[in-house]
Amino acid sequence: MNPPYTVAQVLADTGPILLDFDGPICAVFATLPDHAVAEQLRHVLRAHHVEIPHHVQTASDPFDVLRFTATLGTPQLTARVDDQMRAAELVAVDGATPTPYAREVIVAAHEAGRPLAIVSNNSTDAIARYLDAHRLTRYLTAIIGRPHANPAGMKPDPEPVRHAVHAVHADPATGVLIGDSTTDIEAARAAGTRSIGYANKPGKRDRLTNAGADAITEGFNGMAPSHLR
Amino acid sequence: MALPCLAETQADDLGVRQRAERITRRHTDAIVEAVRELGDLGLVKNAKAEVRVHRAAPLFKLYILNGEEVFFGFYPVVEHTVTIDGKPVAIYDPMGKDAILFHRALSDDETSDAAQYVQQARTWFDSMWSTIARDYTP
Repeated sequence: MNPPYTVAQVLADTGPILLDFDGPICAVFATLPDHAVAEQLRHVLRAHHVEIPHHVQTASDPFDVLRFTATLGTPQLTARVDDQMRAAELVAVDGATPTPYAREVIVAAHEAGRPLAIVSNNSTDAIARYLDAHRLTRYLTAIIGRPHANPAGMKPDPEPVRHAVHAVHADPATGVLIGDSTTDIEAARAAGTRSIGYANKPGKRDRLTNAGADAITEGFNGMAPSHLR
Repeated sequence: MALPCLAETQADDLGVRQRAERITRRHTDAIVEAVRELGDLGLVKNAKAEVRVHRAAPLFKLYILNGEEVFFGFYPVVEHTVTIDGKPVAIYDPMGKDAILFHRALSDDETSDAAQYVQQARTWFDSMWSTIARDYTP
């Protein structure tokens, strides 16, 4: 199954670029594994005597634990789990692996005069820490990270994407979100922006295409700098 | 070399260095050619160009004319994406293209530091030329 457009076509039709963080920019949990973070979050729940259902007990994705916590109707506990996740992410980004050619895409887009923003379900502080360490901060107009203690407001909710579009003073239809999850594509569509699926693993191409991605890229090697001008 | 280098790691890189080497070669060849042409056309009696290179990173440009006039310009370091071996590479690069050249001459107003400036520039140039520089024959 093929997406409706090529990456070059979508980039030619758009200006501002919105980037998901974990995946398109770096592998956040490269050295601090996500399952270890999920376990840290479960530890917080256990300390508050929460009965953890089996599917959350075995979840390797910390976001599954965070989303479950929000269903308990205890906002303070959700805030505490979110804080714990933020603390873990701040540690994780120090060992994050940069995505090949992500820097080149960011720098080339900046050189071409395209505004750049990050729209991510990761914590804003952790993203800022990574960008700072890699001397990339100056290229980003805005960082829209996880809304605190409000998992329902994360992507696929379109609000963070709208927020980012607003931050770069763009019309939604002129922006393009590059993300590696179906939730990125869903959020982009709901916000009225274009989307490019970053299919960095087998099977993602079909999943992201089915979710409605305008185009698919399997890596950033072919994307910079000529297509970005 | 410390500069130009890969932006991500701030590390020296063969491909990045070879790109800088090609640019150096292009510019020095152009100067040597132009000087030779002046001689060939008989526009000047004797024309000779010598090129020597050093291994320190280029951070500024300095022109000394007849030992009397000096032009100096800073190279700010900029990040940009270039294509090396068909792949995009973000590099930190010294950028001389838009540098403003500051001018000093021995003939400047006596109350200025211009004469000292020209002397110091010459001293610096001669020291580089006669110590760490080596021949760079086109």
